[in-house]
Amino acid sequence: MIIESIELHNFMCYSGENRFDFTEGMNVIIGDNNHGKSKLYDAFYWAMFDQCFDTGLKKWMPTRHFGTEIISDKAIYEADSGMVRAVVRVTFKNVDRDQAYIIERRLTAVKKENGTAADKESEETVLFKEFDFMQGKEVTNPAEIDRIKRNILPDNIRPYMWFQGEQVESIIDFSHSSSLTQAINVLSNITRYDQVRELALALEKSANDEYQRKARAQSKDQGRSEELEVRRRGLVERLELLEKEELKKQDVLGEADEATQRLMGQFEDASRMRDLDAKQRAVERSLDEVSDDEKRERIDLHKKMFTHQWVLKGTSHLLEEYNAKYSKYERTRLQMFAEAQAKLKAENLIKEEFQTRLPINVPEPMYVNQMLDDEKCLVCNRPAERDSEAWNSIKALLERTTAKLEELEPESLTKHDFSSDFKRIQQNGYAMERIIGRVDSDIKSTFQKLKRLEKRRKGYSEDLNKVTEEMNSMKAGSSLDPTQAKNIVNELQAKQDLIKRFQTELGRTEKDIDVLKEKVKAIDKEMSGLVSGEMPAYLEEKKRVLEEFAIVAKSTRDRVFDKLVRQLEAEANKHYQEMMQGNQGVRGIIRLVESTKGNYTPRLTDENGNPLGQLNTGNIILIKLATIMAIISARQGSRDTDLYTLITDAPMSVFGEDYTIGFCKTVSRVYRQSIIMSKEFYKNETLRRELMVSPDIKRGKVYVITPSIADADRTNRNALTTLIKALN
Amino acid sequence: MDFLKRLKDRAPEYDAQYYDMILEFTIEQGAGMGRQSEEERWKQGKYFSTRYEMYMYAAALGLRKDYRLPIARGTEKQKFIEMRSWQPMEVTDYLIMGVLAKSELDFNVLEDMEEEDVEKELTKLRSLLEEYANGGFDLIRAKKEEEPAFFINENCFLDLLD
Repeated sequence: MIIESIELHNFMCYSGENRFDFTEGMNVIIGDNNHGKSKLYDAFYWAMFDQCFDTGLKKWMPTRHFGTEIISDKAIYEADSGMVRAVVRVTFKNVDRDQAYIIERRLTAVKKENGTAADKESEETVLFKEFDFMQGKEVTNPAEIDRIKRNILPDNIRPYMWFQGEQVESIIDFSHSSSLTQAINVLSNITRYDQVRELALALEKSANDEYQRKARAQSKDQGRSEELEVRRRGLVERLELLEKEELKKQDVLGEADEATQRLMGQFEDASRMRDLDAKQRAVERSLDEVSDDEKRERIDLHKKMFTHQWVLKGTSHLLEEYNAKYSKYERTRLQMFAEAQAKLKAENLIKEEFQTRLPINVPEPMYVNQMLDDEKCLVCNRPAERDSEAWNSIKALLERTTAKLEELEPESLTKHDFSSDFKRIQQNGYAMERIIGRVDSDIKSTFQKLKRLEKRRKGYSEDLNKVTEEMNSMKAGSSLDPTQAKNIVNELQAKQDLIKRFQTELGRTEKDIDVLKEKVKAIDKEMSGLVSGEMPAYLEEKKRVLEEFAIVAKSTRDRVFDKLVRQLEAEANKHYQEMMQGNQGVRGIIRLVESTKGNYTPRLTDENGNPLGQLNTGNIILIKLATIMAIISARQGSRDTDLYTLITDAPMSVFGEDYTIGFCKTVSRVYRQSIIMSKEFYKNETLRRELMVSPDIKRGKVYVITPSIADADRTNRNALTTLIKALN
Repeated sequence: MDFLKRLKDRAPEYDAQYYDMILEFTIEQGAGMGRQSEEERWKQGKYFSTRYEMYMYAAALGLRKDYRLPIARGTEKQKFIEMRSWQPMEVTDYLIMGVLAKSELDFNVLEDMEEEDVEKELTKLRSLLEEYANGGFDLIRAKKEEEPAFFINENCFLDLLD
């Protein structure tokens, strides 16, 4: 059964009528992110299983969860009031018999003035065409519809045939025995072996119980036997609990071990990235600091014109000129002062001379006053009447002796005195002169400092570019970002701690189990010792045979399981080697190593089984993809890869473009028909060319899908359609 | 006394033709004081924070090159802030010293002048400062016309003082 076509009418971004035809071989739908690849994948899933993928919840959800989101926004927007409908129709063709099944799903919504409401449930129609040229006949029987669908895609292989790239990680979980058992079950019905084992164990237990009962019945000491039986039962119950606990711990250990393997593969990159991230932050900090210093220095550069008096650069001569003027001023002023002082001195001399006409150091004024009182000159003995000329002359003598000598005040020399301002200007000039003398060296050292800062900034900037470049190439190469890197390093540490703790705990549990088993054995021995007479031979034989049967059933199951794992491993290796062809990276051989009971960890080894370093995410995804292919292709005696179509959305996005062509070659070789949604071929012309011409790829139809309005230009989706262009 | 104060109370003027040039090199007014305005100046790629800074620079340049250019009578002039507000004060005083040195003023004669004549001399000194600043502006203008790219360099105004 291959898929002949899918028709989409107003389904999500596929507004209007859209159709993809498919042939055998690898059909590829090329589109960038948000171009509608996942919606096409949704369309297949919706038509078949009435579910779409909720990218937020990362879960498949039923139609009612999405409501009108299933119908094209453009269709709703353009519709007049009334009914709007989304339809997806997938035609499956049985090429060998020229028969076809058409599965159609519809969702109807009603548009009203106050909004659009979709039906809660979708409608489904299944048509069967006996011959291609005939009209389809509707299949109405639900059981028949189920049968047809199971025929198109059986439930047990669905996860390995129809999946999204991001699911690959979880489809095969090597650390859980149940996940691997489920995969192994697709290969062969291992559950039958499990059932046989369970049966053998139950039989063994029952035979044992019967034997114990009989032994008690024949006991010499019934009381002791009963007591021993009670103790035994308690021990067995405890033993069962411990064994369950042991299994759980083994699962936890297995999971932690796989996580450690995965993380170890990334650890080298992650720890380098973490160190690089720390280095990048440190360089960024230094760059910020030095840039700030440089910026501050540049901001201050022109301010220094004034704060550091650079503006006065080369003006020392002004002080000299001022000094010349000021000196002249000072000289003149001093001269004027000296002249005035000389004049004053002469005047004072005269005054002093006048004073010497009277006897010195005698109390003359007393005599003079007496003369004035007596109105008579005592020198010449002539009368001197009050206010007469003679009297006044005597009085003048008295005043002359009291006249003070005058002192010269500089201010009084001129009308204004600006000397202190002129002086102040000169003093300021001297202060400035000292600074001006240093301006050139100040400027020089400032520019040297700026140069140093600039050099450091450029150095840090170059360092940052290098680190950033290194970081970017590391990011591109390892699909990690610094936060993830940090988380990986931390998680690895946590997982390693967990493993350590659980190994100790598991060891303790195993020891406890051994102790309990010994105790049970001892009780059994004691109980046997209490038996009087012989135990019936048939019971002895039954017990022994069923014990052996249990051992055989268990070991057979384990051997078959291991054989299937090896088969899966061999088949996965075939696919893995093919996918890796043309790639320069580590190739190696996949080994599924049993880490704890029933838990397997994938390892890459050389031909001699020596481990080839640690696995990175890309390796692990490739191993898982190879395993997924192996689960289908290794099915004994089946033609599953011929019977069913592989549909996968963006399977290659997780391991990078290097492996794309290898993957395509392998897929087109393994599956009769596949439909792959991919963005790898959208921008990479070389890859696209190789896809279109490689003789090793069995091509089906190749389409490019693009939105009618680019993502960045969209304000809403009211005019959004998807353009489909067939490349062959 | 109070010679300096009286001189600094005067507000020099400049030829209005240089208004645009001053704006070209001076931060737009209105930014706050301090580092914020300095950073603003730097961001705007300007060399001076205030117009008086550019005026002081022009006066210093004129005095440095001993180039004064009288502002022709009748030229439209721009009012300007009083010298007492110019910062830093010691640079203002140094420029005044330069103008006094270059003037023909006899300090002794000045001190013996009548008040009215002192005022006239102070006005003359202000005019002389304006002439040197005008000379400085003329040198900047000429350099701009001759070599426009010169002023892209952050050292341009320092280099012009060489």
